[in-house]
Amino acid sequence: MTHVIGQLDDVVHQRVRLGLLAVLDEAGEVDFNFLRETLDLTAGNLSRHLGVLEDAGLVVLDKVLEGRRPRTWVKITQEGAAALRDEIAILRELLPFDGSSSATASD
Amino acid sequence: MRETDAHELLDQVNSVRARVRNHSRPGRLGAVLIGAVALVGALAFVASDQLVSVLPGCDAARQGCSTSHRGFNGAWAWHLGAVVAIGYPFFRRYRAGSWRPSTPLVVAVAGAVVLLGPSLLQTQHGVPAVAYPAATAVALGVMGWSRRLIGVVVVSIVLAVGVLLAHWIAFEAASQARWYFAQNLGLAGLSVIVGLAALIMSNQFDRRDQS
Repeated sequence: MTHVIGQLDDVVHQRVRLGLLAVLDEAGEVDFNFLRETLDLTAGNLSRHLGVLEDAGLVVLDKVLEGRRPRTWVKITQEGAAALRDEIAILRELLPFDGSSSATASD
Repeated sequence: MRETDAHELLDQVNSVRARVRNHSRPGRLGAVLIGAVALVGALAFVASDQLVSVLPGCDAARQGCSTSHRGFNGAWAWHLGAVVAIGYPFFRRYRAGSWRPSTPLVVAVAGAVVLLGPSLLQTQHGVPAVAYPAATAVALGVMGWSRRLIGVVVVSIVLAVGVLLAHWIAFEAASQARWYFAQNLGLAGLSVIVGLAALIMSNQFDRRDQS
C-alpha cells in the first residue's frame, strides 16, 4: 500500500510555488510585482517558479502594456486550483498522525 | 515528510491567504474615509430636506414641493461619496496589482446603475434622499466581504433595493413632516453605523480558519 505522501505533486509541493498558488487562488488575478512583494521574492526567483507553474498548466501569464508601462498579470487555472486543493488535502491528512488518518505506511 | 513540515506549509498557505485578504480590504483609513463620506452625505440630505420647506411653493408638510426643488443638494455629496466609497477599494487594489478590471463592460454598467439609478428614481418619484447613504452603507458592508467584481454587481442590486424600500417608506410618511425628519435622521445614523460595523466585521470573517 502506498503512503499518501506519494500522491504529492512535486510541481505544487514546493514552498514558493505553493505560496504562489495560494495567493492566486485567493486573489484571482494579480500582477508580477504584487506576487514578488507578497512573498518577498526576487524577480528572478519568481520568474523561475512561475515558469514551472506555467509549463505545468497551473497558471497563465498575460504580458500587457498599460499605457507605456509593461505589466505581467498572473492567473491561476482550474487545474492549478484543483492541484492546490489536492495538495492541501494531502497535507491535512498528514496531521495529526494519530493512527486515525487514512494514510498508510508502505510495506 | 514530517508532521511539522505539513504544519509549516499549511500555516504558510493560511498566512499568505490572510495577507491577500488584508490587502483587499479598504483598510482602517479607507473605512474612516468611507464612513465620513457616508455621514456627510447623510447629514447633507437631512439638512436639505429641512431647508426645502422654506422654498417657494413648499410648506412645512412638504405639500406642493416639486422634486426639482431638490436641485443641487446633498445628492451630489452622495454621488461623489459613492464613487469614492465603491471605487476606492478597487482602485487601490488595481494600483497594487491585486485586481484586474478584466470586465470593463460589467464595471461600466454596474457603475451607471449605481450612480444614475437612485438619481432617476428621485426625479420621478421623490424618493427620500436618505436612501442613498443608507444604501451606500449597506453596500460598503458588502464590499467588505467581497473582493471580486461580483461585489460591484451586488452593490448595484443593494442600492436598487434600498432605494425602492425608501420609496415605499416615503409614500407612507408623506403627510407627517416630523416623523419624516426623524426617519431621515434615524436611518442616516443607523446606515452609517451598519456600514462601519459591516466593514469591521469583515475582518472577523476573514479570520476564519481555511485549513
